[in-house]
Amino acid sequence: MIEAIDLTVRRRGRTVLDAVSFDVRPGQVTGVLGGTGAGKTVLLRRMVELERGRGETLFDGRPYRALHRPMREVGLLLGPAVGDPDRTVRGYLRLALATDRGAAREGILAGARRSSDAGTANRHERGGAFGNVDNWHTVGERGAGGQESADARMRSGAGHHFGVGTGTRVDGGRDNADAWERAAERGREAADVHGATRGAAGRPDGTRASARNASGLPATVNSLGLDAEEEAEFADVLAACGEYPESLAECDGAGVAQTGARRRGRSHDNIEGDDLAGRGWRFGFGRRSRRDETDLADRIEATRRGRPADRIEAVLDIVGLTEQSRTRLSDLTEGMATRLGIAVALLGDPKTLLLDCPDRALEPEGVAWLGALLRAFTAQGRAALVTGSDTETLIGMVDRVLLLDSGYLVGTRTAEEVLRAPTGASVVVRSPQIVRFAAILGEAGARSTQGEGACLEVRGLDRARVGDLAYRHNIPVHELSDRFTGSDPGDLVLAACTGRRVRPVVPIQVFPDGKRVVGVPTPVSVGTSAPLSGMRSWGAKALRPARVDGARAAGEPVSNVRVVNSDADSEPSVRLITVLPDPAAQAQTQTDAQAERAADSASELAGRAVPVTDPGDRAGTSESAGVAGGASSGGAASGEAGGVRPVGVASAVTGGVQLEGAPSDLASDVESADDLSADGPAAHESPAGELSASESDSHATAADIEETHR
Amino acid sequence: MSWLRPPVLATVSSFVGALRYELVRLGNLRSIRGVAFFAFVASAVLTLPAARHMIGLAHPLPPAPPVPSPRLALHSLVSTIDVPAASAWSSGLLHQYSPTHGGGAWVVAGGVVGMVLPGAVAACSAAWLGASSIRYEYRHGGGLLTFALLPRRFSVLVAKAVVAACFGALLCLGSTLAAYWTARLGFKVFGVDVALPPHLMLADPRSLAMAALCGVLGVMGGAVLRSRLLATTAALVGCALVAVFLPQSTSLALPYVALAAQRTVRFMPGISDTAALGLILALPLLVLTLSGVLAVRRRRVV
Repeated sequence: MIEAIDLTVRRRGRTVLDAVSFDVRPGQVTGVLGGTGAGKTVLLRRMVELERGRGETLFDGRPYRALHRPMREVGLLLGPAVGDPDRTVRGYLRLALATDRGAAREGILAGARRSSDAGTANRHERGGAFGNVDNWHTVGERGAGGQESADARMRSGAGHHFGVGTGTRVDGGRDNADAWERAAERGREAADVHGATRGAAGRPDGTRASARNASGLPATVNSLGLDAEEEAEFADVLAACGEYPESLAECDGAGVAQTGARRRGRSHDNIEGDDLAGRGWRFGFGRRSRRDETDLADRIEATRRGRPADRIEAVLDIVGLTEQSRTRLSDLTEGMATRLGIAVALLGDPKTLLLDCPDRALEPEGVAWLGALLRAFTAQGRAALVTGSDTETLIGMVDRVLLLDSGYLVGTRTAEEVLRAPTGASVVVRSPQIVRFAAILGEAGARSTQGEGACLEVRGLDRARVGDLAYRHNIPVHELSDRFTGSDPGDLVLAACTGRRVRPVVPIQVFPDGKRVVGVPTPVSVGTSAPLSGMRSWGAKALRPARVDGARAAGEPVSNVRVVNSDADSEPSVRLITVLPDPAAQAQTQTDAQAERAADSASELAGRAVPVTDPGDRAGTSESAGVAGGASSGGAASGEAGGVRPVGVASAVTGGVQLEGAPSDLASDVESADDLSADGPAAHESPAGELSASESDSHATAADIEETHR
Repeated sequence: MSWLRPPVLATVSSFVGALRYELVRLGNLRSIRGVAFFAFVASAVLTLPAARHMIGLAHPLPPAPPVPSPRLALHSLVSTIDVPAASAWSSGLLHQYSPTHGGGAWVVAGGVVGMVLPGAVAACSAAWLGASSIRYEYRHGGGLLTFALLPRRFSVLVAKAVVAACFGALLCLGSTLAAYWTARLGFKVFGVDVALPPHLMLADPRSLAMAALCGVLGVMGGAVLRSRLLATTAALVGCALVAVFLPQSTSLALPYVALAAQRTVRFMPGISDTAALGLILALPLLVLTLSGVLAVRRRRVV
C-alpha cells in the first residue's frame, strides 16, 4: 500500500507538482496518465525523495528513506538503464544487487514460498501451469479474446514469475523477430498441451489422471512428441517425485524433483493436475538448454545459497535479456535498456513497483508482455504504479487511472470507467439551420455547443447518428466531421475522466492559504475525487475552517476543496483551491444582458437538476435536465440553500458532479465545508469528482443557442 | 536503547550496501585501471631522474642535516615571521631538499622528497578518483540507480569517501613499490652497486594517510565544485595544509601558514597563536566537508 500525501514540487518558482495525493492499492495496477510535462516523472521521483519538495509518500507506513532494505520493498524504474557504457547487462544487475545481496536469496526463497502458496490455493482452479514466462512471450500473439484467458493463466501462475532464482527457462531474443516467432510457437504448443492436460490429467477435483500411454506416462505426454529417451527421463523424474505427490513434504526426499519444481517456480502441489505442463519446459519443446544439463545437486545448492548470479539470471529471463547478458550498455537499444531497468526493479522481488514509462521504446509485443507482467505481479497482492503518456497503452495495462495535468491530479477513474466513458470525441456539424438542429439533437440526447459561425459541436452521439437525424429532419448539412478534443492523448482521457473539455482553460495558479491569485479571471475546474478519496483513506475527517474562512474573508466564493497537508502538524486537512468566477470578471467577458440572462437561466436549470446515479447516464440526464455547469446535485442543493450562482452560459458538464455518486462518508466529509460556506455567495462542493466546473467558454445548451440567435 | 536499534541498523545496513555498491562499481570500471596505471607509471618515471642522479654520483650522499622541529618553528614563526623572511625560509627549504643539494637520494636513499613523490602521485590519483565517483552520479545518470537503491545519501557519500581513502592508500603502497623497483632495476642495469634497504618498499605511514585524506577530500570537493580538476586541486591544497601541521613537517607551505596565522591574530584580537593556527587548519576542511555533505543531500539527480 502506497500513500502519497500532498506531494508538491516547485522549481524556480514554478509549481511542477501541486499537492498531489493518492494511494496505490495492493492487487491493482495504478496508472498515472498525463501528457508531456504533466509531472509524471517528477511525481515518481518525489515519491522516492529524489526530488525535493513537500509532502511524503508512505510505503506500508514508512517513507522511502526509512525503508530498511528499499530494494526489497520498492522496485523502481526511473528511466532506461544508464551507466558506464562499458558495463555489461549482467554487470549492471550485479551492481544493483550489490546494495542488498541478501535480496537475491530472499527473492528466491520468497518466490519458492509464494509459488508453493499459490499452487496450493490454485490447485483446483488453475487454468494451467503455463502461467509462466512463456505466456508473456505469447500474450502479444493472442487476440482480444485470448487476452483474458492468457491473463487468467498469468494470474494463476503468478507465483512463478518473480521469486524464481534458478532455472527459469531461457528464451531471450525479445527483440528478435525469429525469437518471437519461436516463442509464439512454444506458447501455442504449450496451450495445446495445456488443453490436453486439462482434459486428461488435470481434473478439477485434483484426482489423478488415469489415461496412460505405452510408457506408463499420462496420455497427454503423447502430445508433446517426446522420443523414447525423453519419455524415460520424464518417467524418472516423476518416479523420483513419487509420481504424484500430495504435498511438498512428500517430495522432500526427492531432491531432484524438488529442484525441478523450484526451477519452474512451481510447488509440488501443482504437479498433480498439470504435471506435464509443469515439466513441459524440459520435454515439450524438445530442446533443453545447457543449464538443464547441469548437475541438479548444484542447482539445489545454488537455490539454498541464493547466489546473486542465479537471481540475475532469473530476472534477465523474465525481461527477455538472457541472450544480451554480456552486451554492453552502450550497445543496448532503448527498448532493451527499458527492459533492463525493469529487471533492476524486479531484482529485489519487491512488494511494490514504481515504473516510469515502462512502455518506452517497447515493441507492441513488449507492451503486451509488460501488461501481463504487471498483472501477474499485482495478482500476488502487490501494488504497481505505472506512468504513461499513451492513453490506449496505459489503459490496457492498469486497473485504475490517475490523471495528471500540469502537476495537478485532476481525476481518478478505474480503467473500466474510462473505457465506458465518452472518448472525448465530438462531432462537428455545420448547417444553416443550426438552431433548429440543436434542438433536435437535444431531444435526441446529445449535447450541443455552438462553435464559431453556424457550427455545432455535438457530444453524446456519433457522426452517423447525427447525420441520420439531419437527414430525417431535412436539415441541410455542410459539414459533418469528427473532432477530437486535443492531440495530446492525455486530453482524451481527461475528457473521458472528467467529462469536460480538455485541460483547464487557465493554468491553475498557486493558491496560498486558499486565496485565489489576483488577475485570474477564468474559473478553474479541477476534479477532486482523488484527493477526497485519499482523505478517506487517511481517515481524516476534519476540514479546516480556517482555510475556507481565509478565502471567504478575501471575498472569494468557495467552490472546491482539496486535501492538503496542514503546515503545522502534517495532518491532512482541506483547503479550497478553486473559485467560481467573479461575476464582475465574468461581466467583462460577456455583455451584461447575456450574463444576466445566462445566470438566470442557469439558476433555474440548477433548481431543476435531476440527480444521476449511473455514470453512463450522466450526459443524457444532465442534458435533458439542462444542468448548468457547476450545478451538481450537491451543488444544486447547496445552491438552493446557500445561493449558488452558476455564472455564464449553462454547461452540460458531466463527470461526477452528482453527490449521489459519492460514498456517504465522503459526503459527510465535505459537509462541514458546506456548512462553512453555506452563507457564502457561491459555496458548494461535491466529493464525487468534478467540482463546480464552470467555464466561460463551456458548452451552451440548445435552448441558450436558440435564445441567442433569436 | 531498543528504540535506537532500527535506525542504527538501517544506517549501518545502508552504509554497508553503499560500500559494496561502490566497490563493485569501481571493480568493473575501466577508468580505475587507468588511474592506477597512471599512478604506478608516474611514480616510476619520477624515480628515474633520482636513479640516474645516483648513478652519476656513484654513491648516495650523506644524509642531510636534521631540520629543527618544524612544529616549534611554526609556532615561533607566527610571532616572528614577516614576508621576506617567509620567502627566504621557503626557498631555503626548497634548496635544501632538492635532489641536487643534499637530500637528493630520492627514493633510493629514503630522502624526504623521495618519500613524498610516490605518495603525491597516489594522492593525486585518489583525489581524481574520488571526484570522479561523485561526478558519475550526477553526470551520467548513475545517480538515479544509486540514490534509488540507496536513498540515504549521506551513507553513500561516506562510503565513497571510505573507498576513495582506501584506494588512495593502496595506490600509495603500489606507487612506492613501483618506485623502489624501478630504481633498483635501474641500478642493476647500469651495474651500480647500491644497497637499497627493503623497508623503502613500504610507504611511509604519513604518505599513506595523506593519500587517503586526499581521496576523501576529492570526494567532498567533487560534490561541491562539480569539476574533477578543481576538486583534485582543492584536495591537494587541503592535504598540503594538513601536512604543515604534522609533526616534523618539512612542508614548503609552512612559512606561509605561519604568516596567515599571524595576520589572523592581527585581525582578530584576543585570539591566541594556537587558536589561529587551529582555525586555519580546521575552517577550510570543515567548510569543504559540510558543503560536500549538503551538496550531495540537496543536489538534484538528473
